Amino acid sequence: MDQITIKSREERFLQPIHKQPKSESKLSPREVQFLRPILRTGKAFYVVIPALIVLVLWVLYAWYTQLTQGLSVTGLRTPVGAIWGLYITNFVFFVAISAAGIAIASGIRLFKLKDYIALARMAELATIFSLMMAGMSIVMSIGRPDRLFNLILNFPARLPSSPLIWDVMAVFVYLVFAITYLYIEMREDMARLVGKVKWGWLYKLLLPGYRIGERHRIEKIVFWASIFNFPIMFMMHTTVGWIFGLQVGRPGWYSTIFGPYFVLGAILTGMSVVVILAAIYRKAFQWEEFIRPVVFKGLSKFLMWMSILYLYFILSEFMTVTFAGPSGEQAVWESLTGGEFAPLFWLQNGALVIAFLLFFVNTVFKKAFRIGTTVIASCLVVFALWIVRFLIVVPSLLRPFLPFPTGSYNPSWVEWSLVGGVFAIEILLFMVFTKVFPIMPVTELMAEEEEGNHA
Amino acid sequence: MHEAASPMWVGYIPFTILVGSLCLAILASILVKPFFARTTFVFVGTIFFLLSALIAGTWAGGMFFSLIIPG
Repeated sequence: MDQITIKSREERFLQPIHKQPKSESKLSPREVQFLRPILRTGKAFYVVIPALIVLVLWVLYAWYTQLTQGLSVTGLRTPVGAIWGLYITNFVFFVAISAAGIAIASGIRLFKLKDYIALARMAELATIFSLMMAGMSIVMSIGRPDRLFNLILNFPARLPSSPLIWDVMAVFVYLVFAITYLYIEMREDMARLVGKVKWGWLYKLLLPGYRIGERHRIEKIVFWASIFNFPIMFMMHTTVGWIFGLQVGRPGWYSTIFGPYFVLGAILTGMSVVVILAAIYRKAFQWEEFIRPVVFKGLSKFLMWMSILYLYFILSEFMTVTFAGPSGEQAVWESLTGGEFAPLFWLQNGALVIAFLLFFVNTVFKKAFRIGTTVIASCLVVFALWIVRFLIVVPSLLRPFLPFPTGSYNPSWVEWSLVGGVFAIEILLFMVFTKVFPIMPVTELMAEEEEGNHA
Repeated sequence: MHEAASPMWVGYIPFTILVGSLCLAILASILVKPFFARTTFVFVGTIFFLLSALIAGTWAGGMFFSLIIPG
């Protein structure tokens, strides 16, 4: 039964050119393979898209409830309780995902990592959509989002003293740069497909000033943009860390380690998400030929080092605080190691250790390598690092230095709806983009193949 | 002291129009023939277009939210 299903799917994707719709006959067989998501629509698409739209509508209802009734419908409280909760957890998490996307895309182009080219665009999208969701999480977290423009109005006055302003600036710059980077590197693909696919009219609209042969110039721009991507990435994740790390008034936050800790966490989360994305696209569109096992082997090795390094950071923080830390800091750590947050804390550490071991087995024992293992380990990392963000944000807020009683935090249905909804929106954006634009860098892949044939 | 007579969102309109116009002006300048190498111009123009669109969006968003939030 399974074989029949697989065969029919392959036939659907790989049918001869003469049997394909008229517009497809203008495409080469290779282009047809790269453009499968645009040319064919599976049943799953018609099931998942309406389901996601229903979820998004639910989110809008929950958000409307919060906007009209105020933040009292959430579990967020002040001064006793947590003023930041799931929304800020999601913000830090999505900012982290955005790290590796653009880093991978830039690394691939700078160091000419030919095996990884197929991942470049999906990695860039992970960056852009995650940054959008991070921004949305911030807007959701404030009671009066109609006053958000005050950040811009007061920008010059607050710039020297507010890490929040630095972070807004970093997110704005990173988002603008990431979209520009994607747009510029995608121009050649869009130009190639004008008149060949049904979305050609849209591509034409998005190609102002295009002229044949601009590829050489684009390659130069992309090269320099790739170099600039790295410092921008480090700047952004460090500033997110500084939102917490520069606050003296909260136990568990004031720390020199938070800048690099957040950068490392971002690389680990982002790379893991790219592994998961690559596996999903590979399976869904039978792209085994383009996203080969060597890609997962390489990422597995890299993630092995990153995950052990992250565990080392957690251990280092643990030792610093528990050995002779101030009493406030110790109270937070006690709540993590043996208090109300202990189940989450040990679940997070357990998931990270198992993920490291799976990456280790995949890397060291070459015969034991499985793509599935890499994907499972990556899922564990993503799960663990979402908990990490929650445990960075909430426990410190519940135990202030000032003589307030210890608070508690119970997220409401509104918060869970908005948090889940943000994930739904990100998946929806991915699916719509994949349906409308080439998710594979067609021109680059074709050029690589031609080079390979000539060599 | 009296509250402002007009609703709050009215105050957002001038900035939305101002920054939105800047955004559209940059878009228009990308679409018409630029003075120097087109691709580079499109690259730089896209950056400025997106920045101004984000800022204009902040005001437009403020106007939208102030319509929903009571008071």
